[in-house]
Amino acid sequence: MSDSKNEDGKVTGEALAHAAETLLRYEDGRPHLEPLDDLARRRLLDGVLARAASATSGGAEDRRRARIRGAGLAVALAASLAAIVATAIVTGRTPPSPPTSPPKAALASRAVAVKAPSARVLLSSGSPTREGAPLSLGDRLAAGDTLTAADGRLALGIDPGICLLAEPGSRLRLGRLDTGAVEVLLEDGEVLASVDPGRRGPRFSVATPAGRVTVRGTVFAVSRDASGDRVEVFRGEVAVDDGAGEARAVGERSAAVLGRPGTSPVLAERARGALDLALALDILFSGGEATIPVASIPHMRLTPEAPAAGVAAAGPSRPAAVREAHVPDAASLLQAAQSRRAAQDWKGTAEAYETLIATHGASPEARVALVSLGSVLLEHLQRPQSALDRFGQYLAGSPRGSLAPEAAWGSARALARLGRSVDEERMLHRILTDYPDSLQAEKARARLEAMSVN
Amino acid sequence: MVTEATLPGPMGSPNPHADDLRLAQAAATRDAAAARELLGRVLDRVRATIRYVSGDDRDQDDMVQLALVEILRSAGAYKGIGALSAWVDRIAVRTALKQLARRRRRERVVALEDGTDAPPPESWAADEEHARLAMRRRLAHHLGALTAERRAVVTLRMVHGYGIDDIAEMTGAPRNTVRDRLAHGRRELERRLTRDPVFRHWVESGRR
Repeated sequence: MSDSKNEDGKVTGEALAHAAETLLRYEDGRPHLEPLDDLARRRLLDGVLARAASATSGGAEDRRRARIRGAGLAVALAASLAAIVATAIVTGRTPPSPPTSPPKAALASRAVAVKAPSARVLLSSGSPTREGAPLSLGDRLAAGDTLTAADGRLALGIDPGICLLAEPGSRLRLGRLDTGAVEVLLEDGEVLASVDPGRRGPRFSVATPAGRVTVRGTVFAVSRDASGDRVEVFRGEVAVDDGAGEARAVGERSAAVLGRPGTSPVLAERARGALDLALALDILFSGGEATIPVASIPHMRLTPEAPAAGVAAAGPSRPAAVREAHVPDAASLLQAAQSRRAAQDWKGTAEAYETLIATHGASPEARVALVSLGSVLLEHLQRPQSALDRFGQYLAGSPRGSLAPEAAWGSARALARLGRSVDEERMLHRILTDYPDSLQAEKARARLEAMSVN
Repeated sequence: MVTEATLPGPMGSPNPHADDLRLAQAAATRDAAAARELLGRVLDRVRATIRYVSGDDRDQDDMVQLALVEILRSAGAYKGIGALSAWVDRIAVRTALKQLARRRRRERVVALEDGTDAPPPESWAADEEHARLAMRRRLAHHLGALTAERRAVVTLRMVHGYGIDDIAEMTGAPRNTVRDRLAHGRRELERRLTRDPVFRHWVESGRR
C-alpha cells in the first residue's frame, strides 16, 4: 500500500489536498483559467480604463462639491444653477466629444443619456446603396432608410454602442432609430451585430418577417435565406420572439431557426471568425484601425480619415477609409507583445515590439514599446547596441516623456555593456542634470561613485 | 522596508523590479498605453486570485474590474521594493474581501452545508488542459464553502505559495491568526475533497 492510499485502496485526503495544491499553483505566463479571447480582453481593459477615468473625474467632482459646501449655501445654489445652464448648452448645441477632460466627459455623458441614437456608415466595400443611391463613408442614416450591401460588405455604427456588419447581398431597413428603440429589419442576407455590454441606450433588436431578436450586450448574427430565418449567438444571450408563445432565450454558442423550437451549437470556427469581426468593429468604432477579413479581398485596413461634411470630427464619430493591406492596430500589436512577454518568449516579444514600432511609429503604444524593447534587448537578448539605439530613439522623440529617465538609465547600462565608459559617464551626468528627482538619479549617483572608486 | 532589490546594484545586476517599476510609474502619470500594458500584464493573475478568494462568486468579474481600477489608481505607490506580482496579489485579495464583506452586510448569507452544495457533475473533457480547467473551477467551488478570510489565506498559500509572514502582511492579520486560518481552511478543503467522487476519480485516474 502506498502512502497516498488508505487501507481500502482509496486515495487519502492528504494526497487529494496535495493534488489540489499542485493544480491550483499559479505560474505567470502559463494557462491557468479559461483564457479570455481578444474581444473580451479588450472590452475588459477598456472598461477598467473608463472606470478609472470616471473615478478620477468623480473624485474631482467630490472635491468640487466639498469646496462648494464649505463656501455656503448661497454659493452652492449659484454653482448648481451654473452647472444646469452649462449642461443645457452642451445638450442642445454641442455634438458629443471624446472625454478629453473630466468635466467635459461628465457633461458629454449626460448629453448622451437624453440624445436620440444616431447611425452612420463606418465602412463599405463594393457598391452599397441607400434607396438605390450610392452610399459613402460617414453618411448619416435615418429611420426608414433601406440599405443594400450589394457586392461588398457594409458596416454601420449606431451610437451608443452598436456595430452592424451586413454581408454581401444583404438588404436591411432601419425601422426605428429613436430614444425608445433601435430596430433593424433584415429583408435579405445576413447581419452580424456587436453590442457593447456596458451601453446605455434604447432597446436594440433585429427583426425578420419570422420573428424578432432582442439583445443587450452580446455578439450575434441574424440571417435570412430560402432555408429560413436564423440567429446565431457568439457572446452573451438574446431573446427570440417568433410568435410561438413567450419569447425564448438563446444562449452563447447556440443557434436557432426562427419559428422552430430547439437550438443547435454554433461551429467553433464560425464563432471565432465572428468574434474577430466584432473586435475589429469595436476598434473601428472607437476611431482606431482594424483589419477585417473580406471574402473578395483577403484583408482590408481601415483607417480613420478626415471627416465627411456634416459628420462630427471627434472620436467615435469619425468615418473610415478602406485600404487594402493587412496591418493590425497598435493596441493589438502591443497586446501580442505582452502575451509573448508573459510567456517569456523574448525573441517573439522583441519581434512584436519591432512590428509595432515599424507600423505605428507615431502612436503612444510605439513610444512605450521603444523603452520596453530596449530593456528586452539589453536584459534578455544580450544586444546592447540595439538596445542603445532604441533607448536613444525614445529620448530623441520624447526627452521629457514619462519614460525618459528609464530610457536614459537603459542607455547608460547599454553603454557600460559596450565598454564605452566615457559615454556612460556622460549619460549618467545627464540623468543627474535632466531628471534629478527620478529614481534613476539615485542609481546614476551610486554608479558614478562606484566608477570613481574603481 | 529596504531590501537588496531597492538598492542600486552594480551595472551587471540591476534591480530585478526596475522594469515593473518603470511601467507602474508611467501608468501613474496617466500614460494610457503604459496603463494598458500594465493591466495586460497583471490581468490573468488578478483573475486567478479573485476566482479563488471569491470562491467562484457570481460577482467575480466585477471584483476583477475593481481590483484593476485600484491597481491603476495606486500605481504611483508601487516603489519597486518587492515584486509587482506580490503588490498586485495584495490589492486583488483586499478588493475581493472588501466586496464580499460589503455584500455580506447587504444580504443574509445562507451557510453552505455539506452535501447540499455539491459541485455540478463534470463531463470528462477530452483534452487534458480542459480537464484541468474544469477541476480548478471545481476546487474554486469547494473553496467557496470556507469563510472569506480562510479562503484568502488558503489562496495566497496554495495558489501563490506565500509564507505565513507574507500572508500576515498582505491580509493585515496577526501571524497566529493566519496560521490558524490556514490549518482550518486546509482541513476543511481536504474534508470536502474526500467527499467529491469526481475529483477523487480524476486524481486516481492519474490524469493530472
